[in-house]
Amino acid sequence: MRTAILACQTLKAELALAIKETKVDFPIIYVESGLHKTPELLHKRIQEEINRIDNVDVILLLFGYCGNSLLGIKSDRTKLVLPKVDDCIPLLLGSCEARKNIAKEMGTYFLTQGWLEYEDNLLREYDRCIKRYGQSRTAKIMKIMLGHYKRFMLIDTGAYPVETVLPQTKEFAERLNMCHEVTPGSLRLFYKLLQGEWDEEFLVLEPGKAVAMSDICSGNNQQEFSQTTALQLCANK
Amino acid sequence: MLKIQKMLVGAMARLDETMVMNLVKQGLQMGINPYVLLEEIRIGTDRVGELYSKGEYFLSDLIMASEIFKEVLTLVNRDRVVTAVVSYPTVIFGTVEDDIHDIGKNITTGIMRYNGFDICDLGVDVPGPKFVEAIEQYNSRVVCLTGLITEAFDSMKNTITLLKEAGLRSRTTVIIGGLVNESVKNYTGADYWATDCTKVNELCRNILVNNKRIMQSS
Repeated sequence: MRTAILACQTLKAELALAIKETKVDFPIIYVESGLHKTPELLHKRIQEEINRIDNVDVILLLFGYCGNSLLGIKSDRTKLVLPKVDDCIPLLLGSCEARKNIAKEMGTYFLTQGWLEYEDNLLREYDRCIKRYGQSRTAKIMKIMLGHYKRFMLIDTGAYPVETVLPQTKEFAERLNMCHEVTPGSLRLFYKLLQGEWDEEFLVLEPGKAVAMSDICSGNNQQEFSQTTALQLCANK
Repeated sequence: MLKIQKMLVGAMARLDETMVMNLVKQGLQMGINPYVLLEEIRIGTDRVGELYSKGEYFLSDLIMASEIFKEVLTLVNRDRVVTAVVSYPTVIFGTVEDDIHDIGKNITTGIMRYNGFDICDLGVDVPGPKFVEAIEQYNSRVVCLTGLITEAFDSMKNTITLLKEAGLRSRTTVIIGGLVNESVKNYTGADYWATDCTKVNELCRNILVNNKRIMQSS
């Protein structure tokens, strides 16, 4: 089966590691980082690249849903496979569940080397703010911007030496009076995607079929939700 | 238009806080109606939004615009007794359950308060029943559900289901905001979707004042 990979540049180091370990030799096309901030742009770029790819049977999309960026994405002649994740954080932690559990502890802002290298990230925004607005205004802006976040969490994906970015992220956390932690990541979804283990954790779209809203949203537990909340409402009255 | 008004738009668009504050002080001393000054500031903030859309400004600049706006409001209110020209019924806002993103919501509620709306902001990660309680408490007719992450779409949908179960859906207009579009609107069962504060402001004005529903456009 002729396969190509279309991936977000932010995940470059992790994809390189997963390719090395799985020994696959699929061609890779990277989409530049930072487009998720404008989902229409990211959508357009992904679709453009898919339309351009020829002579393959399947394209592996290494993206999360990234807002609604993936909504409506399709290929008329190639099968598309993508992980069922909201964004790249569950991809790097290994599952949506892992992200949810961490976020439940406290509002957590995740970082990786790829994020610091390729994205127009928070650290760069901080430096820009200092230059433009000065120390005191920047502190206020950052407080508003980080709002309910209490912790920076560096994901140790195994694809880069953590110690090279650790001093930078720790210092940044201290400056903003935030907690700082390192958590081990997991590239299991990368491996499964590359090795063709496309089970319920992946969306497999035959040619001509587009990513739909029902694919992005789980719609799970609707009945359970209604029953529980109805009970809560009754109790509140 | 007076020179000071023109300069005010430009200073706001450049996010020059000192210049904006000085111009407002001068304008007030010259006896210019504070509403006229605030309107120039609003036009300036529209330009900030345009520059953000073009990628020339960043999120921090939007926050800065909102902060300058708040300071001007404080200054204007300190010097004169300013009351809203019109009063609208309370609009309920909240970031839905499982989501904590609220910058867009906060900017929108700030602008809407300036425009005379009473806002009940329930905060972030708000469970569905809290929205129902607030709508009942304030006898509200409009609720704005916001969210940025994919999980928020299901929370929006679930909240709207709750409104139906509580018998409130037919009298409540639901606007969703954040990373939303027509598909999300259809999925959640909301009435309208919006990705910028001006549109929410206009929607609420039309619904509450003109008592009309408008066609959704992109």
